[in-house]
Amino acid sequence: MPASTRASVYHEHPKAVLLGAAATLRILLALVFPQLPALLTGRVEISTPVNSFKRLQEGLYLYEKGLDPYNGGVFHQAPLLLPLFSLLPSSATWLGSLTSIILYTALDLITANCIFRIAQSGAALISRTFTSPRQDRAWSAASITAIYLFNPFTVLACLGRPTTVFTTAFTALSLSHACQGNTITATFAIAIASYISLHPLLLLPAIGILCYDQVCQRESLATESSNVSTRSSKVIAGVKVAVDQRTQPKPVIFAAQISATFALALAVLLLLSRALLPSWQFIPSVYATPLTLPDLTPNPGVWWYFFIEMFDAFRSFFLGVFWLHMLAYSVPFCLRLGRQPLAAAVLMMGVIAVFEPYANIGDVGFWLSCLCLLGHVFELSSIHRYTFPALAAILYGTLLGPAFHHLWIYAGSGNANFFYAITLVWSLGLLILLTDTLYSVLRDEWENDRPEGKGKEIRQI
Amino acid sequence: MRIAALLALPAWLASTVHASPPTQPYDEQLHLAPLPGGNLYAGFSFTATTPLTSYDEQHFRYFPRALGQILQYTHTKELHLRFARGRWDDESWGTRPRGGRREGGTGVEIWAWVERGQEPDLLQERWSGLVNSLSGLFCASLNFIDGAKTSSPVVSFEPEGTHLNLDNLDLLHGTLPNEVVCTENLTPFLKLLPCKGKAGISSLLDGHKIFDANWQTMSIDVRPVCSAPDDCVLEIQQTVDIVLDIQRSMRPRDNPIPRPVPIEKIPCDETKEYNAEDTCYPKKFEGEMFWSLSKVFGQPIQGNCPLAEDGTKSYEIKLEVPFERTVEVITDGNISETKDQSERRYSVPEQQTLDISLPEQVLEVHTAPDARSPFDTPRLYASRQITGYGQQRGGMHAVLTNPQPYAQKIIYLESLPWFLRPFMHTLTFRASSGAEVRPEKMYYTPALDRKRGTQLELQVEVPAHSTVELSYEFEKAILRYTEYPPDANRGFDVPAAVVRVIANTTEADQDAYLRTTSLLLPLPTPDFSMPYNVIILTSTVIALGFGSIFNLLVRRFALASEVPPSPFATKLKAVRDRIRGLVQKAPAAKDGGETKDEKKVKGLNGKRTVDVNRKDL
Repeated sequence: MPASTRASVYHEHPKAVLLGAAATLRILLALVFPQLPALLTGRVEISTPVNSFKRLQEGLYLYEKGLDPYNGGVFHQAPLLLPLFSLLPSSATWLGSLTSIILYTALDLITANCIFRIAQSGAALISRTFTSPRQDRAWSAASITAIYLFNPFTVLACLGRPTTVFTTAFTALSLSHACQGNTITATFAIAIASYISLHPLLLLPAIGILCYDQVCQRESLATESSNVSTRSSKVIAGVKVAVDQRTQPKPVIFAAQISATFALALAVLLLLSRALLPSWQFIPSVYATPLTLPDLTPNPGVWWYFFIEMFDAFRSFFLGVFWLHMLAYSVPFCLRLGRQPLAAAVLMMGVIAVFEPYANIGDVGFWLSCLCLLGHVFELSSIHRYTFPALAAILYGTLLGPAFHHLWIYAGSGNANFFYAITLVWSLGLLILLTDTLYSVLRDEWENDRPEGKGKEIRQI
Repeated sequence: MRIAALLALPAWLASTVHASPPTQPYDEQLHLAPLPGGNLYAGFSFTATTPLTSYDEQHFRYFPRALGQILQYTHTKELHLRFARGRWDDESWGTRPRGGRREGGTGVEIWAWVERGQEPDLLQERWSGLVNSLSGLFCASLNFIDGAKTSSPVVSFEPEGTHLNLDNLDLLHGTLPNEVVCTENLTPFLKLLPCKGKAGISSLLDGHKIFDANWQTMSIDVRPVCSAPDDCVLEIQQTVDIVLDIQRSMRPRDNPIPRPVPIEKIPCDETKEYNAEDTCYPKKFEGEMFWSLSKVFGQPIQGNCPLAEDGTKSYEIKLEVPFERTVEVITDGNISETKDQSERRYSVPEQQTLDISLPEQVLEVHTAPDARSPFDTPRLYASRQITGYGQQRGGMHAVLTNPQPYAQKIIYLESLPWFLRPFMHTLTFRASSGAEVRPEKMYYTPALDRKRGTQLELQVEVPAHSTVELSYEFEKAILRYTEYPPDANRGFDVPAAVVRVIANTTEADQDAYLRTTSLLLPLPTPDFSMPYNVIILTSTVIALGFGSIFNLLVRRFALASEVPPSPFATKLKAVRDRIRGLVQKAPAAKDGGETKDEKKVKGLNGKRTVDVNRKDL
């Protein structure tokens, strides 16, 4: 096939080509290196106590033997995963391993498809009350999808098969439906994600605002006068159309609706889980484990070493502080970035990826790919902020993390501080990237209001 | 527990048949048997009984009051306590003494049947009371047996005594594999005996010798024994089983430090070609070694413990040596001796010292002395290892070998600490014969972090003349830094696995027990020296993120030109200008002429330049 034809195939169906290539890459990796999935499953950077595939197998074993898998300290994952995985052949066999890889590849493809749709919807650029002055610099949907699919973190996480891949898939699904204005579906998807691992709960306010924004846009579109027929023409004209507030849904009622849907979905999921299991013991086992951190297995986050070294008298206090700290971001992001709800959601995902108790690189890979949805503001952070040092720190952490873990655990020539120092550098790099993006998003919004400030030195007051 | 009770029923019947109450209220026995490799097995057994009715009335005669009151207070109906050290080398020493039923895993092991009571927490309270009181009585760290170290095996143990209300009793089992058993545990043990170790065979029990043994185990077993429902006695059996290295124990007290033997005293193998004045290849020792009770234990038996009611017999010594072996009994009194092909028995009724001495002797036996052991081939061999490397994960691997020509049913019990997290889905069995082995029954209680240990019981049939290997993988947890012992890098002890070989009605009538060695589990360790540093560094990173994010969130942007300069910055600028002015002035003053006029001119020039600059602005 000549290169031009190949290129044209890509230009005509970019999504199909990308998804096909990504699926081939994952399955080929698993076939060519049959030991690779098991090796990655054992890596602390990918598998944590709350998402490890090996622990899922243990839970499955107990479940199939008729024991309560939550009456023990090993398995802390959502109950509804058990019947799903008990349908698959045992992962100890070659066929079972391949089936699980195919399942996780499918999840990755779903996530990629969602990211593609989010990027296409343009929700990052345009909202009800805000239009980015840099919308012509937005990254194409195909490149953002490609960044997600061929991101080494995502590929490794897919082969390591942690159950947080389910969380990312449902989070992406929720965001994509929120960008389409499908409130019920979006809320339901985020409820499933929160059910699987607790922290997507923090995304609910941002997703709610995103839904509200999209619903309002749709309502105003429907009632709009005929001279502005499509939304894009309105945007290009940059005309602020007066919107009849009476036709808009009331925010309080809308919030109540979303909360009720979320609570209902969660209740249904929990009741369904209870029906499968002999007791309610899964609730403390699944949801209290990330809250109280009984298992201090190393991971690339900041919690584990802190709570190893914490004095017993202060343990509960600092657990509370850490959780309050994570909670503290959700609402302020929504308040300040109310005009760009997708940015608020993406930044909150970043906070979760950095500060969650059992951090893993799968979440970071997903967040870094979602960050590209805000690609139009990257020029601001590269001009005014510290993007290069942050990326260098992330690369440094990526390369030295596994090496220092090996020095500590296997070689015995380094101690725990080596790996701890690297997790600090890694978190710091991600945090700087998060802060820079926040700066860029805010400055972009400010420049929309004050176009004369473009490219000038500014102060914060 | 009900299942356990049902399973226990045949054994209950068996025990009523076999364990007929001893006729003597107090009985002591010594069993001596030389073992291959220059070792001597010595098994001491002291049995005392008291009628259950007088025990309930707090009337103790032969039964130790200190222990009896603890048992009564904690409603313990049957107690088994073990202190053990070393390893029984069953490949050369053969089957274990007393069928392994009076043996414990390395360290301290305790299991007891305690009355459950009505309230839900009462059992735990009684168990905790029992281990804490025994901890004080035996100077052992038994009080560290908390919920995380306690388990309730379902099928591994059965009550040895007769219990009329077994449904109300619960079995609790705890082990302390890292406990170092020593003289401080022997002294209270001897104090429970009626003669306190001053007379009778217990006078041989000297801490220096006992704890110098290659293998030693002390046991205390309390059980009720009934011949009829209303004729019950409470029996306490105390045993000490040791295997001594004869040569090492006979080292004279005045010269206890092992020194190389002078070359003149070593019997050399003169057939070696390099044999010369200064080179010697030690000759292999042939025949039987010399040993005597007074040399091995430091002193002869001091009289007897005169508690027998009829006064005819107070203790019995059983010596397992071949018929041809010369045995000299040195005593002033009368002893009765019965002798047969492989063993001799001595009953000693009188209050005399007694010593037994066996001279060096070459016996004309068909087999080499090393290949012979007074004990038969063991019912089963068991060993267990940790596989893998690194401090993240590992595997457990147990090998069970059945040397007998018939298949045997066993129960394999493992009580693992919570910080070893086994993955039961990786549990595999492999038989040497290639046949598929499956556990017939499996009882599994997974661990709960810091609350409960793992308990695994497997019932497996080991085919005749074959080996069954079982293995599973586990993960090593990392603990909080306060949970590590001071010697954290030594590793953590994993209790021995207990193997119960179930009695096969045609071949053996009693269950045998054996225990593997305990294991050392290295865990990953944090840096113990820097809790403050970690708290500070992590908090800094979090504060950095929180600070910069909220800095952006709460403040708004403004053009730099719109912002009035802050008063501090203005002041700073003034200071800077002043310094700059001084710096510019100073060189001018140096290289210029010394006259005042010139200085003035310079000053004017300086002013002019400043003006020019102002114009530019």
